[in-house]
Amino acid sequence: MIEMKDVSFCYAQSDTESLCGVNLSIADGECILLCGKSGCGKTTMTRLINGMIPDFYDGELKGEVLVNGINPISSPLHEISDMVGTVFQNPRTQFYTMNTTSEIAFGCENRGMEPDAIRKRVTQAAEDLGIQGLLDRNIFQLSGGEKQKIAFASIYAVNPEVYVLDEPSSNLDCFAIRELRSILELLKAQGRTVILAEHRTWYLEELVDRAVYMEQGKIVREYSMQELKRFTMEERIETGIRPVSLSDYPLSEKKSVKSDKYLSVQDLRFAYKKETALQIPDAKFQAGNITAIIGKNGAGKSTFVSALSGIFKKQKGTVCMDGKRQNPKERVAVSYMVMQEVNHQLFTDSVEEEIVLGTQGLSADRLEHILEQMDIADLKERHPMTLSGGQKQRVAIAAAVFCGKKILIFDEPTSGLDFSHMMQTVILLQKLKSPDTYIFVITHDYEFILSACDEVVQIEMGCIKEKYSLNIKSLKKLRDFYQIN
Amino acid sequence: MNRDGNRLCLNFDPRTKILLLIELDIILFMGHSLIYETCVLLFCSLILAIGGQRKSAAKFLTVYMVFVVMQWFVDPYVEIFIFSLLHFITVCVRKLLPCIMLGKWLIATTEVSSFVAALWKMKIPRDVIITTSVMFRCFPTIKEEWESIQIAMKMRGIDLNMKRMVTSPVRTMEYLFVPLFISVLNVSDELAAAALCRGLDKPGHHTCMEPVCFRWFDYVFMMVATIWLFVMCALWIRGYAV
Repeated sequence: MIEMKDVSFCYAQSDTESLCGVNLSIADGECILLCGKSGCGKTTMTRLINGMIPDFYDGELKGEVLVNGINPISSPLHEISDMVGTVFQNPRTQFYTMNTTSEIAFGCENRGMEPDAIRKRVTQAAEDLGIQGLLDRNIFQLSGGEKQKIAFASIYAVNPEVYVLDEPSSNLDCFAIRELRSILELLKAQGRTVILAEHRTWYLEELVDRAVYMEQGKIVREYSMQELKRFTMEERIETGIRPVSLSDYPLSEKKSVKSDKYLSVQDLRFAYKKETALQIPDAKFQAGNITAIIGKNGAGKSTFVSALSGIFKKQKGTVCMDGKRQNPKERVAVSYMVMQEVNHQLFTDSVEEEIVLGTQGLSADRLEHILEQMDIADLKERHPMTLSGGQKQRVAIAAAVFCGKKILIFDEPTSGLDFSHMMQTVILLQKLKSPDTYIFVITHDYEFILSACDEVVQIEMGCIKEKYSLNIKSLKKLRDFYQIN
Repeated sequence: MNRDGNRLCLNFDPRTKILLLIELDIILFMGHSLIYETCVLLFCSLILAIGGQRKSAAKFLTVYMVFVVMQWFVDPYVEIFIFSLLHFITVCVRKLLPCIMLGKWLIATTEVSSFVAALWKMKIPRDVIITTSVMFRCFPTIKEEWESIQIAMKMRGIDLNMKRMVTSPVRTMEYLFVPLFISVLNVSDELAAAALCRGLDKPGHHTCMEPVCFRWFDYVFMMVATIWLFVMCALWIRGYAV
């Protein structure tokens, strides 16, 4: 039983309240979805329940929180951790050890259990979650989906009554999300209480009992999954909640850009340590299009775009841009990748400096124009690290456009975005379309592909398995890939 | 990761590894002759070889030999600036080689959980354990982040190369370290949060699935290093130079 009475919370560094006057009661065995736009306070709710506030995040709290009769605010974090297990958003940073088996054992070890008992728990957890094949592996070599399963197993081994999940699907592909769903089904069958903060809802239709919708730190109302399913496009944009059913999601009309320029690839090959990772005999991409690169984790999507943009020195084959043959070095000069971890590509201490970095003698008018276009003109003087995730992404894109990059690559630009922010990214990408720009997007996001992309390339085992322009006729292929019927 | 029975190697207790690292670093700086240095390095190579890192032991030995030979070649020309600089660098790196070897060995062959269990056994304060183990866990992540930042720099045309390191070293370093520090800070924060939510700071007894205990080889190597250290201290107090 979780009870929140008139709870308000304000983080120490902030002047606005992240939660104000929240009342919520969750019965044992319920599965609750916390939803709403980014910054609506759902993550703060999870932090109150798992005790990270105030041990890890300081601030001012009013009201009362009770988790199974214990106040997580006044008791130390380790006491709550017996009762509440948390799975975080980023599979990369929630591991403490480097070996999967010892990771699953970690929670039990901290509780001083005997080695034999720990071994039993680890085996049991692996069996229940169907991950025996992942035991005793190096965590750094697992895919995102596999990492997330290990994260679940490591909580499962401790056997808490409450599971708190903060956007567990945001870094996963649709296959891994389906596996996540079966784990959640198992937890529900065992009568565990599950609290999910999440934008994606298509995998939750049969699982969630109540959806709690929040806006600016307040609980506005509760929905059933049936009600969420009937949402219109406008309602989704307003609430940020992604569609419950993907099968009736519409294919948008896109602005078409006419161009006679092509990026053509012949016999492109690349190997990691003598193991062939990429083999593309022949492919052609038209400028002005947005191409979605899809495929399972580890299929070779990143390898493909890295080879295309010339990051690898040792690749074989030819790539011609606008009819001219270009070696890897020339291609790097005209390519830019907006990374998932956008912090890796912001180098300086002001937005303006960031954008002009590495260029010479380009006009100030052009800079103004791009700042306007990307909607960051009033952030010109700010330090890039003080911006929000979306703003950072726009700064990185602005830099690429200003440098005159022709091949723009986006690595999962919409993972972890709510519906309205995803739509903003769609609009942004449409603005970037031009008759001499090639745009490639590595993505798992079905709604995004339908709203933004003109063409789909499916990669499998380092080869192009399918390549088609996206229209009503070819939509079936995409649906088959996502197993949507 | 090395385990008993997997390969012919000895799985030292993390406490032994830490003690060896500290003692051998002190021992290293107590003597100055080339023969003495070589002895320390051979001892470290022996530890690595039987501790599960035969390849890197061989690699470090080769590097050491190259440096010794290089110094021998450079020595006659130390009056020329470039050569004296080269001489200085070779001596510095050579001197530090055993520390690097043991540090790398400690990180590469120790599972974080046994490291933490060992620290709890040593009765080290809780806060120190949390900080050190987060640091310990951060190294492999830094490597991942580093690679990704290199790609990002390449795409902006500010990649690390010799020319840029010479013409604008400060700038280039800044471009590398600003994103690196920020991501390492973020990562260590998230790591610590996840670990605390799983009871890392629980008071009382912590265990480890792989038992952490001293075995005969732990005692042998600790004895050798400790006696060596004592002998060196005694010699040093009496004014003998080695």
